[in-house]
Amino acid sequence: MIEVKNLEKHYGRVQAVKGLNFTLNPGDFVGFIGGNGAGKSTTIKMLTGQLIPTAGSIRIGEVDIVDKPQVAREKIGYVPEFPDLYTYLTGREMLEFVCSVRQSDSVARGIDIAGLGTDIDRLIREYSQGMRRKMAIACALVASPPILILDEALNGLDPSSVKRITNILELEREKGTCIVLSTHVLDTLEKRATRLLYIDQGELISDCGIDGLSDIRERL
Amino acid sequence: MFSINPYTAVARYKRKRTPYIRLMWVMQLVLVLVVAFLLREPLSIYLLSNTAHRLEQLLFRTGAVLVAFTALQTYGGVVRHPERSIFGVHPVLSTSFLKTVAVEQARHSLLVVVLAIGIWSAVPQPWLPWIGTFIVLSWLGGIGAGYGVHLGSVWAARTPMLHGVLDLIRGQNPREQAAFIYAPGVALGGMGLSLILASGATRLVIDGRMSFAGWMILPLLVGAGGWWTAMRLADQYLIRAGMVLSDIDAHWGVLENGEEDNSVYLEWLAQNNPQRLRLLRNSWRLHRWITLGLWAMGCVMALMIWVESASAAMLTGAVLGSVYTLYPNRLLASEPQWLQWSLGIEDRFQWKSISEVMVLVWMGLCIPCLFVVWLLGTEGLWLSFGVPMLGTMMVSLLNGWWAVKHKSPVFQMLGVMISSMIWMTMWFWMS
Repeated sequence: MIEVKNLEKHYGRVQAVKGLNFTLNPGDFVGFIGGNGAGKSTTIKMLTGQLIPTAGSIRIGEVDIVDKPQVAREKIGYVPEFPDLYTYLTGREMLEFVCSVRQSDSVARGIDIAGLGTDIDRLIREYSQGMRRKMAIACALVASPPILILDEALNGLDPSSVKRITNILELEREKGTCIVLSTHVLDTLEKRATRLLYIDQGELISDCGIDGLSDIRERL
Repeated sequence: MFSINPYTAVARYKRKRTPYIRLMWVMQLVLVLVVAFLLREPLSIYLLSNTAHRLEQLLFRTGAVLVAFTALQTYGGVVRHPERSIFGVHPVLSTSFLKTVAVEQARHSLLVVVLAIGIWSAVPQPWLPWIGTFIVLSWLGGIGAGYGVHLGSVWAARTPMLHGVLDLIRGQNPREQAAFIYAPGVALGGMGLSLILASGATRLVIDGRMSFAGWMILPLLVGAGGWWTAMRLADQYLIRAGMVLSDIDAHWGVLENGEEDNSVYLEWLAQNNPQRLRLLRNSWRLHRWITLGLWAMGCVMALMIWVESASAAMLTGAVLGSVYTLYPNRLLASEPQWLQWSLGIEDRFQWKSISEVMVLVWMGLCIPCLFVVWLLGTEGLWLSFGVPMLGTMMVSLLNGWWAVKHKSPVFQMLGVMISSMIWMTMWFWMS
């Protein structure tokens, strides 16, 4: 589904990502792990068509993301590390906007995923950080895209919200959605992930099943 | 789902729920009307002699300013849209987005049209409809041309065909940034011939030669061509603009020379004052263009005073001073208030530091002007410039206090008006 070949990203002399190679398949729940500054967010931004790779290729199906970045957006639901929302919209209106651009009519589903109750009709500028994060996750999931990429998306959520959202992600995975979750909370991955990608200093150190988690935990 | 264009729906909500935007627009309209009122008579006097030639030249320049303004606006709307991080993570309905941005741009740039027509309003009444038509057609044409050029610049930024050309002109900038920098110039160049022909046609129509009226529509036709091109390029290049921009920003984010970030304007004045030092650093690193821009405009005003165009210098000072009174808000926007509170820094100390930085930055405008006034030795000039400069400084300090106390934006707008009034009062007195 996502094929990454020899992916590199340089910023002048700084090599943020060096020669990544991996393939993600439908139904994968991939834990994307690495220390601070390892290159996770840079890789994710390239996967989601936000950044142009310096070298290498990223293909979703038969489509190269750099040639057709719109395809990346259509097929990927993305939650950035610091999600931005229209603060002058209510949560409901934000979901309506996302459904409009994604040609979906699942606003009710999005409201359910957000789990904000009556706060869904308050302006987003009145939301706490955790509420905004829930909104961003709901916006990414609302149209059931085949690929979900969440960059430290569970940070700042209370434990019950983390559990609820990971349950939702598991249900999506069972439907064939490919999920990539970048997180420092290894316990979450231990329960859900089927595969782990460990990156350090821009290089892919390990691409393994969940049984490799203890090894990665020691390295971190 | 929104039943209309989702971007238009969002824009409507934004206008409805951010009232200070409406207030700012109204204040800008008032400022525009005041400036138009002040400049209409000098323009009509200028046209009393060598009328035909001057009319054509001024019309062309008016059209060129409108095109340049709209081209820069288009950059902000298409390439550097402030909400790209919000809509850019989702699929983008490119043509719908461009239509919304164009309408919002037209709404905001209408002020420039009002200004242009206002400045021309003192010409003989039979001329005004034709001049107004020329202005509106140039404005609309500029908008359309801007879209075509800016999306085209995204293509230019990445195509290997133009690497050689971009390398010649980019200097220290990344290749992609060179394409964006020169795009407004391309818009202006592309529209230039149509503006020359249309301004000539307008002059001929005013002379009674109606057969030339059709040529006035040329800027609009070029703009329509630009818009048509933009619609064709939108799907492929609108999203790519954001990707290219990320590369440019990342390029500048990696400093080759760490020393550049360590040197701060007038840092030596703040060695024993952490608050002042921090604000000076914020001012220099985040708003360097304000500091340098004031020095540059101070030199321009000084030159105006030197060549006995003190009146023009005063009008320039009026605009700059009024805008400068809002600088405390910019400075405070980069100050984490929670940190001030947690460190127990009282509002008056924060205000004192802001005031010190405000005065130091404002000196960039004052020193060149007052130096020339001193050289000329004309007493009236000391009063004409000294009083409004001091007035703007005092109003800015007051605005700083209001900003620290988180007062309503109405107070800041009052400050803008008071500063304008001081300058205009001295301008009238000098006249």
